Amino acid sequence: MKRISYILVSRNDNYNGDSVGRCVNTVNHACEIIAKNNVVDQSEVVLVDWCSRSGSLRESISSRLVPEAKGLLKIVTVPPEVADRHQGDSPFSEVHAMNVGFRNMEGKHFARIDQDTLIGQRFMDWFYHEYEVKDYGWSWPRAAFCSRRNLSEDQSHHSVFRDYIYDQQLSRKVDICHEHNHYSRLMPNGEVFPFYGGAVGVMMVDRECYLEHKGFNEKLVYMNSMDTEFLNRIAAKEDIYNLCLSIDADFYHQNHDRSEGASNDTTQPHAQQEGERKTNDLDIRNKMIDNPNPDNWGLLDEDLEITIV
Amino acid sequence: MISYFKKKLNKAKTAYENKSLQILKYLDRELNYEQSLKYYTEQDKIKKLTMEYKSYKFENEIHSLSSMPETAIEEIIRINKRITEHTWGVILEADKVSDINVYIAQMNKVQINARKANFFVVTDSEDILLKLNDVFNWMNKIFYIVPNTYNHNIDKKYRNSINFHCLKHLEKHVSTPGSVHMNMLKEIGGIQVTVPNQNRVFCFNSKRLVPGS
Repeated sequence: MKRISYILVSRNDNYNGDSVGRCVNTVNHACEIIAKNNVVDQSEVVLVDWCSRSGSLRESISSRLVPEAKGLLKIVTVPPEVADRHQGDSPFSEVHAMNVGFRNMEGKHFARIDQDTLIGQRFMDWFYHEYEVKDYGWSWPRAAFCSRRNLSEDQSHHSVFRDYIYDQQLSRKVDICHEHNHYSRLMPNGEVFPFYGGAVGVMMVDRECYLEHKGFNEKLVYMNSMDTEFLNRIAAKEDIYNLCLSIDADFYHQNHDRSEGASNDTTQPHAQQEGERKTNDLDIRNKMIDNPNPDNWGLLDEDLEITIV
Repeated sequence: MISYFKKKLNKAKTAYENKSLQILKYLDRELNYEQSLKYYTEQDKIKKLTMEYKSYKFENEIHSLSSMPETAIEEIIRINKRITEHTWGVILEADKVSDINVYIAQMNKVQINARKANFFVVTDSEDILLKLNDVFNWMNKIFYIVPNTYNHNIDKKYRNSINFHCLKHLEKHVSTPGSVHMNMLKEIGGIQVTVPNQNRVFCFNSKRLVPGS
């Protein structure tokens, strides 16, 4: 069994600009940093192509992949006719797509990164050389969450983004996204922003833990808050590793506009950049809800096309 | 005469304009604070310490209260007035801080379990104090780091002792390993000093963060 599966979900469209270009960057960078660290045998990258309506993502990106992707990248294609049976009126059900990624991964750890977010070197050092490798006399938590940094437009440029990832001083100069969550700030009303409540850098869940909780709640087919809801369920039962502070937010979000982003989501610092995409009810952050997923969650009964690049 | 009045009126106009701008700025800050309790709002970075501070060295030698000048005693009283029964001492010797996030995580844990907790930070580094003020504040309005005072007329040699005398009244502390003050506090007895384990500290029991807990 591989140790880790990086799960990315996306589709062939122009969401908030060149989403396919950003996805190619993320896939290529993930494969490059894995190869650079000599951990190919312990890793895989799973890209779930969810509901591409104008040609598959696989076809669209195949000629743009780096050589390191060979043997590392697996693409699971969920065509629109299948996706539409599950996602209701949502244009892109991330929860289903991520559960599909889980069902088709080989790794012991599910590691969800956004399709436009880049992995940093501190994470590589931590995961491959410390997490469950070093025995400190206590059990490592089965779930971990890391916030991310937002590359500016200039920092996102293909000619420089690697500098901001590999240079340890420069990397810390990139703005942290959702700082209140990153530092778990205590508000004057006595509430605490949980470190796992901000924008995702990586959300890691051990395979057994994921199964016990039946994955992402497939009722939450719209944007945002699904990670927090899932982690709330885990947090109610066991420790979560604060990877945000441990590796100091070592994930890097590529800059893009937000015209098609979330609407009416007051949990976002950029809420004033009102988008048009429907979001999950914010209430799911503030109360515990049951996960009603059926046994075949993650489209277990669907026959999906899987391509190893 | 006319030009004199014009000059005066212009001066008054500028003064009113400046005052109005100040009031508007203040109201914006208040609104921002109010909204922050309901909506996610960008935090204003603190780039300059909002308290008095001058770096000094940690030392083993502590001046007794009776041997200190009156101004130093007054300083201790002034600081103690800002300290509550919920205040934790935080002792950070800069050369022993390899990763400030270790201490931020430990302080987070304190706050998660005791929402009234605040921190009296004793450190020989202005950068560390600035960082903690930036992290543990709310919209530049509510501070969970107890503000220090620093009377510049007090001889520098008493600074270490002033802070120690303030710390010894606190029951709970977070400290860098083997700090000078930690060892002395332990000798007093009945005082809890936590040195965070730099790996274990990031494991969070988050049950109290879960809705409805």
